[in-house]
Amino acid sequence: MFSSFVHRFSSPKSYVEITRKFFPYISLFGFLLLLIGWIWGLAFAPEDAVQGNSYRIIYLHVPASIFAQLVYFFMSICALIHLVWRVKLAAYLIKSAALVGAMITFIALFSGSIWGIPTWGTWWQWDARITSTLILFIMYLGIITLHGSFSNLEKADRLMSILVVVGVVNIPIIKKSVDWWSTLHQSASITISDGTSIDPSMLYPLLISIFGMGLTLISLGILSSKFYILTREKNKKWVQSYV
Amino acid sequence: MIKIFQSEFFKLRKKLRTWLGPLLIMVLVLIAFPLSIDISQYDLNRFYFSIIVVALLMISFLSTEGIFLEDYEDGSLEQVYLVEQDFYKFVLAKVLTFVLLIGVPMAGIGSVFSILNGISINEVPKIFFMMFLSNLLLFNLFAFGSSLSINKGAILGVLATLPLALPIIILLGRGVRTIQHGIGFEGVMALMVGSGLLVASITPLIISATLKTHLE
Amino acid sequence: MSNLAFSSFNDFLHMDGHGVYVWSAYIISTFIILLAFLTIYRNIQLIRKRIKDARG
Repeated sequence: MFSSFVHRFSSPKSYVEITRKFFPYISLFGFLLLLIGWIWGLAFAPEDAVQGNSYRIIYLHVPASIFAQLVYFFMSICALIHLVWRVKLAAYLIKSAALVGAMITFIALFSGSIWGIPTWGTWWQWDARITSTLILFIMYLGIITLHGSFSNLEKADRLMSILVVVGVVNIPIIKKSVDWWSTLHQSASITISDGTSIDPSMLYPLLISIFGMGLTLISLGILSSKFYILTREKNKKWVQSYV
Repeated sequence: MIKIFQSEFFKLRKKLRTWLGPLLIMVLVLIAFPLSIDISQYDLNRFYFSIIVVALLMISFLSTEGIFLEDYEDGSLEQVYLVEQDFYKFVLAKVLTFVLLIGVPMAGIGSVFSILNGISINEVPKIFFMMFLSNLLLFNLFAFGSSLSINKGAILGVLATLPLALPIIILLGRGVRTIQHGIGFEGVMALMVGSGLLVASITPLIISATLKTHLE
Repeated sequence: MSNLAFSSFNDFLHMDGHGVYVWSAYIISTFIILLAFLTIYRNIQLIRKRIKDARG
């Protein structure tokens, strides 16, 4: 039963049909949550004792950084599925998720460096986390350009999946080594040390904006994958009758 | 296995441009760098190593760029595939040949230049061995990169794997520092030997998968 | 969520001098996300039209 379910859902046709049903709810709910989280965070959450009001970027920066990594994790699962079972839909999802991932990683970097100006006095610091996020961003760009450089798209799918899987094995290594390297730098950088000690009045809006950002990105991913599927399968019969 | 290795070795040795070119570029870079700064003002010893390390990265990047291109174009890849059904041995031999003919001399050049910049002669074997191991890692990684895009846009695949090379650079930099300070060398060395062996044995499997994709 | 953190709307915009950073980060990021939605949406419309036209 499970395999028949996977088989049915893994056809691009039923994927497009199912996601079309859920898309309005997901996107609306996501926008609403994001809006609530941000308004709560910007206007109602108390001021931070150390950083003052500039900490309010957290409600943008932390969700973006979390999803910068989660999107890559999602891509690597799809890559495994594509390599093992040769599910075409998985490759389509990788390609469209890579665009979303590159975007959100850029936002994470960008909001982080703006946050750095009032807190560190500089917009860029060679800190372990920033550096590994930058590397992640370059990896997204590499994956997108690699896929774009082949005219044989099936080949491009497989090569991209291999690169994604090799990359996900490397991500913990990169993080570990960058951590190791930045301990050499004596300059202490302010980081949000542990999330659990954060006050509830600041935590709730953060959680809400994380969920909201997630749903927003999922709906962006749904749109992006729909566009890509229509482009790739434009000669198939179901697409002809779908449009 | 030894036979494949020998034939690869002779093939590469005849292509002077492929292996001598990168080495010359490396020497040139290492000479050019001190000339471009005011030595009377800066303490060169303190950061000359980072230039050597970056030179290692760039030169291994350059020299592996077309590692499978010729075999792909003249059909020897297909031949290997027909005979062996697998590329493991072929890739292993190929990468090791590159490491021997380009990587080892590169490590030699790097350690010679480190003598010129204030490392005592006793430390040179350590430096050499460390650079050799990082070259082994880099060549495997970049060979994977160039196997991704054998003939398309040449350096594109290698560029895509460039971020993955950064841990190697960090490790090498850390190792050099342990030599300069004289503590903790064994730990870094053990880590490098271990990861070198692991990567050198696993990467041919991955490269073999990508090469098969190209032939399908 | 009971009480506002700022006493006036001007304070809210100014945020003790940090307003420039906070607001620019939020506005530009929102702009990027909206732009992504709009471009993809437009592209979907375009590809649909192209497929329809090709079908005849």
